[in-house]
Amino acid sequence: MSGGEPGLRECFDELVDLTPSQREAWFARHELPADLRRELLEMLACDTREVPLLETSAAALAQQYTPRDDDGRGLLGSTIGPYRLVDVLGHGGSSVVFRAQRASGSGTQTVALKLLRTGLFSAAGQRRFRREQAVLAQLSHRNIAGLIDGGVSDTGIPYIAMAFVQGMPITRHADAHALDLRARLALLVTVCRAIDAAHRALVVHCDLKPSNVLVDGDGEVRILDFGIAHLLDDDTTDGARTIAIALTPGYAAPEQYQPGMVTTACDIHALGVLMGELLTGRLLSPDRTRMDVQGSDADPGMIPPGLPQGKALARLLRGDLEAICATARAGDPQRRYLSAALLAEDIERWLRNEPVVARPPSAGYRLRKTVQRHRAAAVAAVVATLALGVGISTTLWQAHVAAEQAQRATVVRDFLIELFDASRAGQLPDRRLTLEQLVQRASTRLQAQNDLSTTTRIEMLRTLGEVGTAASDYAQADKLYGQALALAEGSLAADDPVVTRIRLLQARLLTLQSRYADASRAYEALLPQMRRAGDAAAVEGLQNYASALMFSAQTDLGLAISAEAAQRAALLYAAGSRTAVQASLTRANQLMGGGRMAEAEPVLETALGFWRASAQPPQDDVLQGLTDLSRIRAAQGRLDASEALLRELVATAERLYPEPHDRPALALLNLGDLLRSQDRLDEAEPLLTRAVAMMKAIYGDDHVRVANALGSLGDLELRRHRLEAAALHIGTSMQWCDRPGRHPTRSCIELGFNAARLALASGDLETADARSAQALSMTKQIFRDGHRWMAQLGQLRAGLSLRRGDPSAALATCDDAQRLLARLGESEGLVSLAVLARRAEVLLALGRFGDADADIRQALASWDRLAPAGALTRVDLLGTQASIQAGLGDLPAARETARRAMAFVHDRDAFDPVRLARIDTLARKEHDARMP
Amino acid sequence: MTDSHVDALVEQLYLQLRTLARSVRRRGGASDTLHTTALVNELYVKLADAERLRFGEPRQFFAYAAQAMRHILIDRAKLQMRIKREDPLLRVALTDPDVEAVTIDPALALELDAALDTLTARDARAAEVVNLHFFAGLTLQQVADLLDIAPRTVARDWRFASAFLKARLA
Repeated sequence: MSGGEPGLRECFDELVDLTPSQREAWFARHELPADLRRELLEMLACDTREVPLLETSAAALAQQYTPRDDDGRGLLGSTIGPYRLVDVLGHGGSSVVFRAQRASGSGTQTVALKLLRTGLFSAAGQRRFRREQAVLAQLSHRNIAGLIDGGVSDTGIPYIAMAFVQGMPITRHADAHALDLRARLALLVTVCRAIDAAHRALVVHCDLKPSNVLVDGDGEVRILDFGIAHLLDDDTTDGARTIAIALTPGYAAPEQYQPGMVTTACDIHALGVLMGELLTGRLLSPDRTRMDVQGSDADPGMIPPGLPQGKALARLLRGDLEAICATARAGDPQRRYLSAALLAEDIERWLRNEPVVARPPSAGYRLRKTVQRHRAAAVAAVVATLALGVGISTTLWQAHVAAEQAQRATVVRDFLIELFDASRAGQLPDRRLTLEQLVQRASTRLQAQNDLSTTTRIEMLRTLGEVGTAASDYAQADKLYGQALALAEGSLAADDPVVTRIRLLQARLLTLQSRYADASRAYEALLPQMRRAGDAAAVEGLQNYASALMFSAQTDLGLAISAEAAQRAALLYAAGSRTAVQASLTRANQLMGGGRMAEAEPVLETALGFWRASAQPPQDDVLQGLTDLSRIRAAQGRLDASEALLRELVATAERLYPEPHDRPALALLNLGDLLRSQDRLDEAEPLLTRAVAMMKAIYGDDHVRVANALGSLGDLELRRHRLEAAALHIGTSMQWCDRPGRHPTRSCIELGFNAARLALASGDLETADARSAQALSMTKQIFRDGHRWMAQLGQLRAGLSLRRGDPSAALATCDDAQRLLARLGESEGLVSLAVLARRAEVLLALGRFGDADADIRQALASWDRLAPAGALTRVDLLGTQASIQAGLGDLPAARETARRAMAFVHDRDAFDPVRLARIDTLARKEHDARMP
Repeated sequence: MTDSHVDALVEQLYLQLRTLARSVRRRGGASDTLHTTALVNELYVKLADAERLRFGEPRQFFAYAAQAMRHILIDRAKLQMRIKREDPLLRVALTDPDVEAVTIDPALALELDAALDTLTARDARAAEVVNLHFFAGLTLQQVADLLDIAPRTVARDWRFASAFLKARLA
């Protein structure tokens, strides 16, 4: 080893052939960096160890990890759900189809049962499966083999039971019965009508082909596997497929090979191909528009039975039928028939010898057609033709609108389903896209998708914006709404409902970003449109407007708008309905925000009662309602009831949101706060810590919610007299309120109170004064009719006056606070208790021991009732009482009280040392008492 | 190695890869499976370029095949872990006794993958020996022939590489 850094390889090669003792000597001779030495020792230790992984080959291992194909025969005789598996009908890549039976009344029902091989791994995948299945279940049509049942078996395998159809593929049926051209076309019309019905129910087949279009023993067309391609994603009964999505070469439309959306146009394409196969007996090649029956002279067997042989067929097909087929099969989806109904109508026109729309009609063509029908009155027919032309275009236009709407709905739905597919089952968890990534990806794709109509683009941009909003990706949502609005304003009137809807969503987004003043202005501009519409969206808009106003300290106007929203909601929704409950809860919350607790209480009790009785799943509004009622109970001093409601809240919120989310975080915060206010600090701390972590994860550091949660944690530390920790949390939280331009909010009142309390505890009277004055002024701005926060801040300021040596002012402040609480009907709660305790201190300072004693007794009784487990405050109160008793000259009582207080002291650090020393001194007076 | 030897090896390896890639494709899988299929298809294009193979670089082919096999192995190991982790019920229902036959923890294959990346950075040739021996399935002798280096050197490379990798497998 001469010079330079010795390499791992170099050392290993030298060492590997040495004996153990030689190796030791080698290591002694060489001075190696510690990590190199460690690495070498590890490698040498492993050198002779057998690791099975490396003894085998990658191919063998991969083979071992590859699950075997399973044709499902092993399952015959077993049951899935209520079905017993009787026979395997077919199997493919991801599914096996069984003939299955279940007992039904006195007999048995036979179904075709599809089992998914791969299972749906994620909850989201299962939800999608169930949702799609619900869509299919609604599809009821005599020509469609309906979905009978579907679900997930006990063992977790998704299954679908469909009507079991015994019949033959439509092409074979036509040949077997030697159907002529008109009969074949009539069958096809039936198929088209059925497909159209499905499309109108927003279900796309995606895999139409003769083997899925059967004709049963009664001659009825029965279409199988509707929407299943979408549901199962892969149905490989045909080995020639190359893409994970089920595609049948020849039948699949060109766009189906592209990543992107599957729409009704794909089914139209397949119908065109089916038409070609029915009329020529062969699959038309995709690049041919002609219905090619050339060469049939050489091979007459190629022409299906029942059809004219040889050139006669070619002549019949040429022209209209070729045009119909080519239109249906057009490479560009936009050029195809807009609906299967239009295709059916065109075929029917041909059957009635009327002009078809598939071919651009020239005057001469129309005339020829018309002359065929009305040979006798050719001249009059020219007039009729003109009328007919108008008629057709009107019908076409209407159909176009209907089809456009249906197609748009389908496009949006398919697009979104596909979007969520990207994060679905089958993906490894670490590869799954986040919602933000999905929205990002979708909007990028939307930019590139230029074959969509403007209306569709607007709708999709808006929808994506809503998804982004739901995923708290506000920047992305803002961008998408902006794009949607620009498009909408470019093509629609300024007060068009579509424009209004986007602008309402933008205003809501502002609210969600805590930009309440901006949101208020945005809603204000929309007020005429909302009042005119008076619909559900308007009610919601008014509610949001009211909230935005209240959050920007315009309480009176906010309550007025809130009342208007409530009135409109009452007109719109049935009493007790989910929407009515929601509206009531929102109203109650706004009353709460305006400090109108007494009005809110009955509204909340009724609404929550309706909700609990309905067994409906919880919504955000319910969570808010539980929170609000728990607050009312707390203010009424019914802390047990409040705690029960908060525990119900946490459980409900966690059920509703299993992932980190604002709502469970808030619920934790509320419960933590209640426990904290009762001095149950060890119970509160983990809840508050979780709340802070969750809030930070959701909002980042700079958000009012994070500030709130930190404020609570700060108060908790303050109660333990850990001033440094408290200062850290409270200082951080106050940054939110100290930003320039921040308007008064309830949060900042509470945070300001904490900051003032901390300052008072640390002896910084100036800051305590400034903070509490600021908070008080905010309270007066927001709550014109008074609020318990004024009393809370008042008792704090009384403490400040006391420290500054002005007990008279302090007493006046305490009396004001008590009067206010009495007027608010809140003489029972924790605030009232705090005021009493303060007043007792003030009276003590004034030497009015008798009055002080009365107050402190009341405060202690109240504390024992409200917070039986709360030791810290009890020590404080008992300490005050002992001092009062000493003042009254009753030293034994004072000593006894002080000793009781000291019995609750487990951690001396959790108290103000000066105060504690005083209590301690009183408790030790026993020596004096013993030796009078 | 003579040309016919190489041809036989190429043929065998290609068939192995194709069988493996296809067996999961038919089950309908996730995008990584499609990716694997694409890889093998790309390999096929290279294979079809017979002229280039015969007179060109078998070394390149095997390197490529090793890469494809590595992808497949990782893909399957993940699939296996998923089956084990998320879907124990499915195995019970769709009878698949072979799933139980897995003897080597698939997590190890993922660790190997990561360790091999580290090795490539530290000693590229040793890593190439691992690729050719473990992933492409050539014997050490065949590796020596292919790389045109002494069998003893390849053996030392392998010994170093396997100690390196083993030290990193849990």
